[in-house]
Amino acid sequence: MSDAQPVLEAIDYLLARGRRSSVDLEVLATTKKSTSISFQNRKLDQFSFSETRQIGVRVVQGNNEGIAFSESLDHESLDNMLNDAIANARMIHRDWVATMHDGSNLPDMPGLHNPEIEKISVEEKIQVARELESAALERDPRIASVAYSRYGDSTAQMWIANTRGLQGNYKTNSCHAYARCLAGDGTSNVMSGEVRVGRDFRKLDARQIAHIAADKTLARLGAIRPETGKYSIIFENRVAEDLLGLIGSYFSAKSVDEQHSPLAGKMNQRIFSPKITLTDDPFLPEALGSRPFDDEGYSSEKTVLVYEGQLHNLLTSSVMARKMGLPHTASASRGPATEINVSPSNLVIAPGRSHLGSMLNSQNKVILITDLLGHAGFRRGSGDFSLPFEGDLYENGKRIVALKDFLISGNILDVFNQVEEVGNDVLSPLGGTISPSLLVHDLNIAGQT
Amino acid sequence: MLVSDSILNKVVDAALSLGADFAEVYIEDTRKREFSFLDRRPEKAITGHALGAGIRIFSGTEQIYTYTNDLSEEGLIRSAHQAAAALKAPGRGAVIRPQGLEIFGQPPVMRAHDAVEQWNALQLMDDSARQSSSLITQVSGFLAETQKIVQIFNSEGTHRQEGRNYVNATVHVIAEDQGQKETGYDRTAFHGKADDWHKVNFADLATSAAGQALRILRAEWAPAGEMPVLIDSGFGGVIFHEACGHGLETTSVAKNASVFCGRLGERVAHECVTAIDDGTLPGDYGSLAIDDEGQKTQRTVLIENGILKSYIVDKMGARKTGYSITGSGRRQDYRFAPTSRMRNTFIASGESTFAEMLKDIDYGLYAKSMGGGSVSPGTGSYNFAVNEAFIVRNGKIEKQVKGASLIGTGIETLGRIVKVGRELKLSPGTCGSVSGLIPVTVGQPPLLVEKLTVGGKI
Repeated sequence: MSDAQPVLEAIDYLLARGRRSSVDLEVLATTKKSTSISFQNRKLDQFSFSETRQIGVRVVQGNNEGIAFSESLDHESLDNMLNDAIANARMIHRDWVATMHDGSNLPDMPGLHNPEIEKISVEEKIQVARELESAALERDPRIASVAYSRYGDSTAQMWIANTRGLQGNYKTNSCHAYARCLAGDGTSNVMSGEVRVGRDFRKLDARQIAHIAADKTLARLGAIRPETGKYSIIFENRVAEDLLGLIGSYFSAKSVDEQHSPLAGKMNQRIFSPKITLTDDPFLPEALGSRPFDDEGYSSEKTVLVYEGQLHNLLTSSVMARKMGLPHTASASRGPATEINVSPSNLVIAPGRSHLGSMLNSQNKVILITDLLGHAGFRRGSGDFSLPFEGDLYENGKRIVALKDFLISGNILDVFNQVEEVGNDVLSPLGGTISPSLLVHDLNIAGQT
Repeated sequence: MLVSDSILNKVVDAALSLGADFAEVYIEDTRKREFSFLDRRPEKAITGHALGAGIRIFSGTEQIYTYTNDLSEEGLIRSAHQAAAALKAPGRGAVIRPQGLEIFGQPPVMRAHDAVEQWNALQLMDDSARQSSSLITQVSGFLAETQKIVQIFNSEGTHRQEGRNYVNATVHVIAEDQGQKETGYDRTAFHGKADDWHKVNFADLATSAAGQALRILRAEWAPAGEMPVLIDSGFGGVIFHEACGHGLETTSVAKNASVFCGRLGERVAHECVTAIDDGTLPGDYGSLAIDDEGQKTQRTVLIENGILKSYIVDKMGARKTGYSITGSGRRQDYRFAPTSRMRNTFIASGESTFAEMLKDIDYGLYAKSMGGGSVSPGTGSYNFAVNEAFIVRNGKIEKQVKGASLIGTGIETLGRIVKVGRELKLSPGTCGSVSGLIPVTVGQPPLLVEKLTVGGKI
């Protein structure tokens, strides 16, 4: 029996029950297998692997909708789940309800699943995890420890089916490796690291990752706090990706409709610098947000959200497209345990023409921001933020000193609106955002007074 | 009992079969109901059932963890064999067979589809928030009821089960004026079940969130720079949680990735600071009868009059560091191996009055309510957001400001707490770390920190 068989049987059982009772229902199921291995002090520290599954049902009766989920697949649990969903549907009446999609022939998307990852032996994975730590420790005696390092991989499969005949599934997998080192100079500790994610195990070079992590850490020794003041800032590509992730939900029509996004009423207006074009692209095999169809079963679409600074589109599910009179972008997202939301797949800022080096050279004094250390100081409703970063001070293109323990404050939309230069230095994605480095002037930094 | 002891004995034997000195099975059965309200009407009703097992084996300080939601005998034994095969330890440890199941905590709650009281409560929150002002443009309320049963069985003779019921109410409010939009938020959470919703004053919760949104709407930006900060009681305790608490967990200490490593018995804070992590407080959100390793929870004095007295120690942390277990092994659910985590963590009451602390500030910040935060235990660098803050000038609270965050390093900040107030308050929160999201409380009386970096505008 294949791993998927119990899930397929559960889906069939629920659909049959739905048809027998004349209940319109949609089943969403996921399975996941994962491995994670870490070393500490050159010894295996933790080895974890798992196999899990979850199934959820969404019931639509007229304009009523109810959801329930279960991790147990026996018939009694499935019956209870369906009864719960029907009971929940009695409580939720919507003016606009996501009706069942009756489409068929859902597309496939090559490149999201690499079967080679599943053939990698445990010994090879352990060797990668071992080397992540040992190569970092051996890089330089000043590396006191590798506080966090890990090799991990996961394979996930998602099924969607409904009583109108929709049936589809796809499989994705990826592997990752990271190392985060600690070094001390007698007065304080510094940390930094490197992470790589991909769908090709053979491209995870543990030694290279470890060396980059160690070198980045050592470069932070002697870090000081900057003086409080206004500075020109370059958000390095990875940090720009983090910032883009903070505002991803702003482009959801559902967020706009529910007043949680500040983009309400801004369609066709300038919201970003004219140097920024932003696209939601679900067709990038290497990016983790890619998908052949959305979580209602509609074929994926590529959508230009911001064109040369102007807001062109919002992301929609079927119901939000109807309700708001917008194009349907097939951006519904949900898991077995959640209701339908609207989310980006991969948000991509188009690369500009500037080399990072020339951006650094062009400023008398500029801070290159290399790490965002937390998101708590971001107020999503207004876009105001006061967030902790780390970086390096550059003067006339020359790196002067590493900087630590400071906050940058402002409004996130103002930051994207005030981008002066867009780099050409896009990297292979780590998640669902892709951005080059971005130069912004006159940002408020709180450090030492 | 979720899984019989005869099956669990076989699972432990399978886990130890290729050599390991400790094996543990964690079984979890969680049922959830969630209700949300948006735009003056019911928005969501979701019911769910999570069920799974985590199997953990040790050989010295090596740990193998597997998890599955196949709770059949065959499924559990297969998972145990997978764990054993991954370890291949040199020798098998002794097994002490548990003598019966010890049951702790609250009994499971009867399930019911009726949710009239929940929808009424959500309606009340919506009405109350909107009645605060015509500038309130959106209210979203959320209620969650969780019934969790955990069963822990190990090769050291532990077989314990605990029922944990939680309720959680949150409200978000949006206020808007002349194109400017701000949000307010409030929350309560505690050990309880659906019958306990009457203990929550939903109108107060919503009015509090609305008031916060309206006040922030009228506020100017906070100033930037270093200044004295008076941090109010309750969720203000997040400063200790972030600045110090995470650095005391053996998860960091064992890796030498904490600025508090090797400092037991040393002064790490001003002498006015005593800090406690207490899992025994009745009903509080971070309380437990047993931890997720089956250890009875306890009250742990972490810092006494500025001297570091204890770390926060789980089973593996104890193996790695040699420190005694503090009943602090916690995890979000069966998908996570337990690690050392905080429970209800607070700074004990001091002797200063609020007025005395205020009087000491020539120019500074009064942080009335806090948002979340984060820390890097290895460097001790932490930060957290301030939801509501006021400028203090010449000992008097002046105007409200918005957008502030605070940043510092743990030991430096603990040394700069110069006064501790009298009225201790606790607030519920959710803490995220390597073993997932767990319920905790943070708390403190008002504290005066003589210098902190405040993020804002120049």
